[in-house]
Amino acid sequence: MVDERIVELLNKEIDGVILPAERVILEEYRATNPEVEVMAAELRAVASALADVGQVEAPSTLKGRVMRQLNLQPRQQVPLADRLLSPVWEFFRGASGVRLAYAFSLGLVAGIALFALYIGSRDQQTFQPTDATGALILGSSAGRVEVGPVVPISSGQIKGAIGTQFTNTLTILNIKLTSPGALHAQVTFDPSVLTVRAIQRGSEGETGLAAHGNTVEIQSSGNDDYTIYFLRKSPAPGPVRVALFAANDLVFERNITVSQPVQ
Amino acid sequence: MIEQGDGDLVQQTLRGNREAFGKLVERYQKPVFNVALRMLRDDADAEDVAQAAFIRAYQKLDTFDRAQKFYSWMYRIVVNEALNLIKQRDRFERFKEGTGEEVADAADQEKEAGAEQEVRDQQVQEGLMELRVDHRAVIVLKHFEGLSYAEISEILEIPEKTVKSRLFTARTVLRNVLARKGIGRHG
Repeated sequence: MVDERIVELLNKEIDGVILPAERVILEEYRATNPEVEVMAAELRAVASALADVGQVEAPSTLKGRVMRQLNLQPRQQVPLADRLLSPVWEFFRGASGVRLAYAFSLGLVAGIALFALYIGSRDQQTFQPTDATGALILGSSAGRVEVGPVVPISSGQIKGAIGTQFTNTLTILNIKLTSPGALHAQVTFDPSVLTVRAIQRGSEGETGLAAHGNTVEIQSSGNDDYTIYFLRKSPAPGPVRVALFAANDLVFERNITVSQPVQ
Repeated sequence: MIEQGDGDLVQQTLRGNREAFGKLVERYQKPVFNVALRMLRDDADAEDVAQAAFIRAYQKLDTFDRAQKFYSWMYRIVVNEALNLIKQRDRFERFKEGTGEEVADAADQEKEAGAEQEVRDQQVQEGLMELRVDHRAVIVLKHFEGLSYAEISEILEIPEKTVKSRLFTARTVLRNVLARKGIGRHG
């Protein structure tokens, strides 16, 4: 078992930050403990294996994806304080102590005066997925659940809503229904883009329902809450059609195009 | 032609010039993508995370402290985005089980990786994936991005002492993992 302090010195040696005095200690220890050399060789092999893994080029599509998504964002409002103070900041940057003192005083006065405006303008920068074109636009913030727009259901006494959520790989539709009678819900989708992973009823867990071909059929007693988890196979638009039937009559229909502003 | 500094490009972006931000993306897309790739292994996930990191940077650019280095700030964002995805993936993993898609993907990758170096790269990447995510992050920043203890400390917002202890522990764990795969075993 190699002493913890020696392990630290071995690591520092690999990182090239070992001090001369520490090197002396390490060498002395090494001379009398052959297992240290074995460990050193193994750690060097790890570092070497990591160093041999080359950097890969970023995908050629990445910059385009970023810039396209920026174009979908609401225009960024530059904080007023920033706009006004920017030339002043540029002027005073790197200047002498006296000028910096002027800059500080000026900044303090201007900062207090513009604080309220700054806070106000910050609020306008929050990005929300929009439904401006009739398509649900993915926020595409990988790793988090983005909440999309809610599509209301209203047809006579039938009320409800289709809620939408997204992760970077899943599209989730939550259909809430309130109806005086039984309903038949039919959800159709493009199977080349979407795969149904699970269908959940309320908070009871999975229903055992599955898609047949490109359709999910749900028989609802009238008051129900179903959540369908779709796994997206590609970022291409994945249209989903939600239709509700009461006694074979179509009472509600909505095409939802789930698109991701990439590629 | 004199290359514009990061600070100038940030300033121009804040004044509404999106092309200036495009230049920052061009400048840092490779390291940002590589950090994401080493944290996540999957190319598509890495591209998504890199994209999300740049979008987040753009949205939060007014909070960027100009006394900081832009690349340190970008690294912090991409590491956090990658960690978020890992947590989120754990949460939704049960909905993806049993598809067989992952197995097929892995088999395809293995087939494609004919060259010895590619196989070794894959083994190293698999080894990385066996590390705890906080250990993986320090290994990626140290070995793939060549950052100092101080820079890693700033990016991960942990003391330098913690950076060292995580790095040393991670290397020891990785040594054992790689040895199992036949890489670097001595004695």
